Amino acid sequence: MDCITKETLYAYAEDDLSPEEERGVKAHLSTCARCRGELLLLRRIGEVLAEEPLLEPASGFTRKVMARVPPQPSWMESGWRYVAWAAFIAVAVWLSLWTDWGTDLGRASERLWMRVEDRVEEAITSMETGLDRAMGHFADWTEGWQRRVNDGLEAVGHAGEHTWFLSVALISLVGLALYELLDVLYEDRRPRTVGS
Amino acid sequence: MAQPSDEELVERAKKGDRRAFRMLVDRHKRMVFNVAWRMLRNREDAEDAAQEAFLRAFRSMRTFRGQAKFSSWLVQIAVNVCLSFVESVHAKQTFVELREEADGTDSYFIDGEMNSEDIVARKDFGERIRALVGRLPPRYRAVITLYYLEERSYQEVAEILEIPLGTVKTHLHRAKECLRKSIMEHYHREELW
Repeated sequence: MDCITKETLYAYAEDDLSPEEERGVKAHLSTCARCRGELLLLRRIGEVLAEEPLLEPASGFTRKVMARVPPQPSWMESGWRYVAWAAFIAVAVWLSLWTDWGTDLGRASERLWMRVEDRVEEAITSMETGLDRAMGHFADWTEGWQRRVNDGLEAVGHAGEHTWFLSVALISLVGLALYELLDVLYEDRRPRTVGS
Repeated sequence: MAQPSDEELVERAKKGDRRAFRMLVDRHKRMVFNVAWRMLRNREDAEDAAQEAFLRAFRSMRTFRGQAKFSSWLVQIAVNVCLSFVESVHAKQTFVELREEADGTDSYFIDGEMNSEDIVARKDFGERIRALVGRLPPRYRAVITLYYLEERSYQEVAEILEIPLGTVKTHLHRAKECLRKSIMEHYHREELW
C-alpha cells in the first residue's frame, strides 16, 4: 500500500486541504492503521501546544518596564519650546523697533560694545609689547650661548694633536643626548609586545 | 467610561505620554510575556525579553504607522528580541534537528512496534512536547509559537515574521516533524532501558 506523503498528512491535520484532497486522505486512513497512528500523534502534538495555558508575568512587570522608559520630556523639550522662542523673538523685535525702551537699550548696547572693543585693543597692544621684549631677551640669550660655544670650540681647536679625540667625544655626547631625548619622546608610540 | 483603543493610546504615547504607554503595557504584557516564554522556555529570560520588547516598542513608536494592528507589531518585536537572544546567547545550545533515516527511506516510525496511542497516553507527553519546543531551531520555534498562541492563521504568522506563506507552512511542518521524532526517540530509549 502506498501511504500518503508526510506533507499531505500534515496539511490534513491542519485542515489545509481542498475538499477533494480531504476525501482522498480519509479514504486512505480508513484502511491504513499506520497513517491513522501518525495522524493521532500529529493532532495530539497540536492539541498540547494549543492547550498550553497562558502564564502571568511576575508582579511588578509594568513597573519595571516604566522604570526603564525615558522620562516624559518637559515642555521645554517638546514642540512648545519653539513657540516660546518665536514669541520671545517677536517681543524683542517689537521692543527694539517700536518702543523708546528698545531704542535706549540699543544705544546702551552700542556703548558697551565700543568699550569692549577698546579693551581688546589694549590687550593686543600689551601682548605685542610683551612679545617684543621677550624676543629681545631670547636673542640676547642665544647670542650668549653662541659666544660660549665659539669659545669652547676655540679651546678645543687649541688642544693641538688631541683635537680629533675631543671632537669625537663631543660629537658622541651630542649624539647620545639626542638619542635619549628621542627615546623619551617616542616611548609611547612603540608597538608593545606580549609581556611588556 | 469606555477604555481608549490601542490606536488612541499609541497616538498619545508617540507624543511622550507615559500614562498612555503604561496602559498599553498593562494591556499587552500577558501576550508578549507568553510569546517570550514559549520561545525561550525560561521564566527569567522571558521576563527580560518581554521588557526589552516593550522598550524597543517605546523607542520606535514614531515609526509605527498603524499599517498593522499594534498587538501584531508588538509581537513582531517580541519575536525578534527572542530570536536575537536565542541566536546569540544560546549559540551553543543543541537544537533538535531532523535526521534522515540511515537507509534513505521516508519511514515514519523509529521502531515499527511503537504504538501512537500508547505514546499520546503517557502522562508526561504534554510536558515533554512543550519542553522540546524550547530546543527547536529558532525559526521553527517562532512559527510554532505564533501559530498556536492566540490561534493565528498562516497569513498572520507570515506577516508578523515577514516570510512567505509557503515558508510558514514548511517551518510548521518541519517543527512538528522534529517534535514527533524527538518524542518517539525519547520513549524508544525509555523502552530500551
